[in-house]
Amino acid sequence: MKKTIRIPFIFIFLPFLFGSIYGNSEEKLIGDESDGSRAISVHRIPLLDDEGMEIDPDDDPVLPFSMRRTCSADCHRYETISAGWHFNAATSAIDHGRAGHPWIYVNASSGAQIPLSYRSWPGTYRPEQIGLSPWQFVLQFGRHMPGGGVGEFDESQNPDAIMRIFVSGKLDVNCLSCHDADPAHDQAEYALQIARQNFRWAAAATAGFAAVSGAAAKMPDTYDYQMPEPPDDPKIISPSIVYRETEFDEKNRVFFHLVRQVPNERCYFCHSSKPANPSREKWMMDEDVHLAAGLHCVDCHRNGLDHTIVRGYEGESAVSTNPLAISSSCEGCHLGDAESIMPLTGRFSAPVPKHAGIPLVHFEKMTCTVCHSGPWPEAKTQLVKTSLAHGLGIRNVDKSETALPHIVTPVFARQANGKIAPHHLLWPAFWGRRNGEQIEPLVIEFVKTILTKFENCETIQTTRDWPEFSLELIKEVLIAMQAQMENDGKPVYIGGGKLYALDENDTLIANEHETAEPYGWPIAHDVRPAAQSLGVRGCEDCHAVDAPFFFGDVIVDSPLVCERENVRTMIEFEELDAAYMKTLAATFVFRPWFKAAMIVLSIVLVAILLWYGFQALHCVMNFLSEKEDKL
Amino acid sequence: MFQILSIMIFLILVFMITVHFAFAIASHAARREQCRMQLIRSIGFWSEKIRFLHKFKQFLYLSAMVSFTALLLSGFFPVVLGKGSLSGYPLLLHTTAAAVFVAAFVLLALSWAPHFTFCADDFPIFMRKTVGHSVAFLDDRWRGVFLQKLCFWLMLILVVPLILSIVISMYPFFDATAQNSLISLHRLSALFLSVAAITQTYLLLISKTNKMESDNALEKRG
Repeated sequence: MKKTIRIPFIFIFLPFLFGSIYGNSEEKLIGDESDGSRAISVHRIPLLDDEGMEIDPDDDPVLPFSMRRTCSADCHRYETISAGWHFNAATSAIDHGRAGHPWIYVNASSGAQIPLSYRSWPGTYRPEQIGLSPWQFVLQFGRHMPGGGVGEFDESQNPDAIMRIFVSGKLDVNCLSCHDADPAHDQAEYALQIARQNFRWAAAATAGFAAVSGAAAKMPDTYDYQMPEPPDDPKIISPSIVYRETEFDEKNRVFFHLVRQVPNERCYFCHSSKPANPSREKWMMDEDVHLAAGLHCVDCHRNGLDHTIVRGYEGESAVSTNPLAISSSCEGCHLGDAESIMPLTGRFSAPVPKHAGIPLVHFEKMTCTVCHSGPWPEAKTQLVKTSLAHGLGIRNVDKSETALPHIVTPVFARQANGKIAPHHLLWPAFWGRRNGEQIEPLVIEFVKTILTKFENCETIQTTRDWPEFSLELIKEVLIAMQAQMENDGKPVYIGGGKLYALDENDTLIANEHETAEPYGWPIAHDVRPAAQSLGVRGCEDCHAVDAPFFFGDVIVDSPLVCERENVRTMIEFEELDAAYMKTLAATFVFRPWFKAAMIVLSIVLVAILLWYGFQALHCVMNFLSEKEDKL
Repeated sequence: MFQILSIMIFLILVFMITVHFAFAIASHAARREQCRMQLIRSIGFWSEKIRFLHKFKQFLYLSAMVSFTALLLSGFFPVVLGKGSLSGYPLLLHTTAAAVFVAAFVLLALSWAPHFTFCADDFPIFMRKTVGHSVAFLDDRWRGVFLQKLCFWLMLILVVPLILSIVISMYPFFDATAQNSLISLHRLSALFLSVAAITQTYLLLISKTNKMESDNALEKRG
């Protein structure tokens, strides 16, 4: 009898129970919704460790604070934030939009520079294709990652690193990477901790009131950070953190100088670039015109709690859920959206461009950035270094101009939407496996194993530039690889836009192949002032017979010595007819005469019209006067 | 919008010319082959009878016709086919043909203008009602002459905005919005100029054919 009463009782309350759980997951926390105040929210909060326990600087052992726990305890929903653009690369359920800056795996001695991405950008490879697990990927590139995403390590994808993950910790979303406005914030320290495998300590190490020492990399797989035992070797220091005690108030709270409007310098840590040219020092270069006018990066690149930041390219609104995507592109601010019910033009006092005298066809076929962004095109493209690719901003970074990877810029290339835009370009170089028409990079460990037998490759690593590969070396390595691979596809080498493979007689053959084509991603900054935009001096800025915009040389980067002088013409990337563009450029020599002749002929026509028009008027007047006389 | 307008206007024009030509041929059914030959001859500038100045004028006329055809095809094909703006080799052809057309047209206009001035006979109804003039005859020949004159002066009027709208847009005077308007003006001028030019050419050929026919008849009588 009791059972029959209790079962319906449970069923009555089950929906409420699940409902309350579900409701909690959707419920907004204190900081998830603004009350509308424009004042700064002061973040004086307790620090929480991985387990959600409050940290006291006198604890033993003192644990690093966890951003996930500290920020999401009562205030910000971590799950919502961690789905944002900077953290969702590995999420397959979203549209990754226009191709962007890839992570670039570089190994000079094996002649490899491979564009990698978890995003579905054509031309990039997934890290697991070259044998990088998410944990190894973070170790390699976490220096410039804001945490979250792959850094949260799904154990199923890291079967070999489960023990290491316990030692290093996970790389949670690091809110401080962007939102910490404290001048003492040190993002380079973050990169250092990543290199030491101190993933758990990395975010805390960037804070001005904490200091991290030791390296998880030196610890055995059995190391327990909560109950650390002194290492056997006294020279090895286990990872530990020390907080400045004066930073803690009487309630054990710490003040974080957090801001909603992210300072430009925080963005710059990951989004800097510099021409690889000794004559172009940082102090010689001007800022982006928007920043010079007093704007911040995040004025245009905005996001809400979901951190779906506006990337700011034309057409983004089709794939982004950010409602400001349409009004935050170049056109959005400067030209507005004709379909909008309210005028959007002129946000942040954006001037409305007149584009006087520029034929409208230019706006149909090119992005705004062609004329306004990136370096001014020269006869030959140059190399550029970026934070993501070259680790700019971290300690002991290679400052040489030829440091790999070699990124070529500016390359005016056609985008997927048919418009020409300035790009950074990377010529992929790697040892690969060919199965039919399918080519993918070989696992790097396998490549390294083979290449250790070849002296030429060993000597180069110190220079961090390409090794001096020869065709003979390529051939020998391919033969060695073929012996190892047996029936598992044919080894190939991709480099300098060509595919190198052995034929039946073990003769080396070089062909052009789609896989060897460069990976390009559009650039939008730095934006130059209008007075320095392409075309400001006249049509000949681009429509001269030798104008770099169409006929400039694009460096073809290759580890092969015999291929290093190769160049391609810009027009190939613009997918235009070179003969036509040359002819068109030649017509610009006669264009002033043409215009003058047309105006003169128009004047003659107007004169004829006036002459006979006056005669007609004269006839009418005569006719009317005759009629008046008759009357 | 302009695409639909162009297609409609050209279809109406072709329809009207076809119908008119069919009636004209039907009325001369017995001499169809002769008419056709005369029509072809009337276009040619290789006639042995004409002098240098006439030859030059016919050369100008032929240049204007050829360049006009090139302009018509290169300018309207992308519009009619919905391929967007004019670019590539058609653009080069268009600009080259435009230079030839304008030069030839201006010279022709200088020599033709006196012949195409309107006179009292061109307005018979008006003249009859105002001064009781009795010269009016509303036959086919009158219509042809009147329409030829009208088309000529329309062409002369339309070619000015046609040229200036595009030439001025090449100077840094007008912003993108104004340039859009100039392009629209260029397109509309071109459309109506084409209608006027095709009609004028057709009427000229028809009248020439009729004239040659009557000349032949006079020769036979003589």
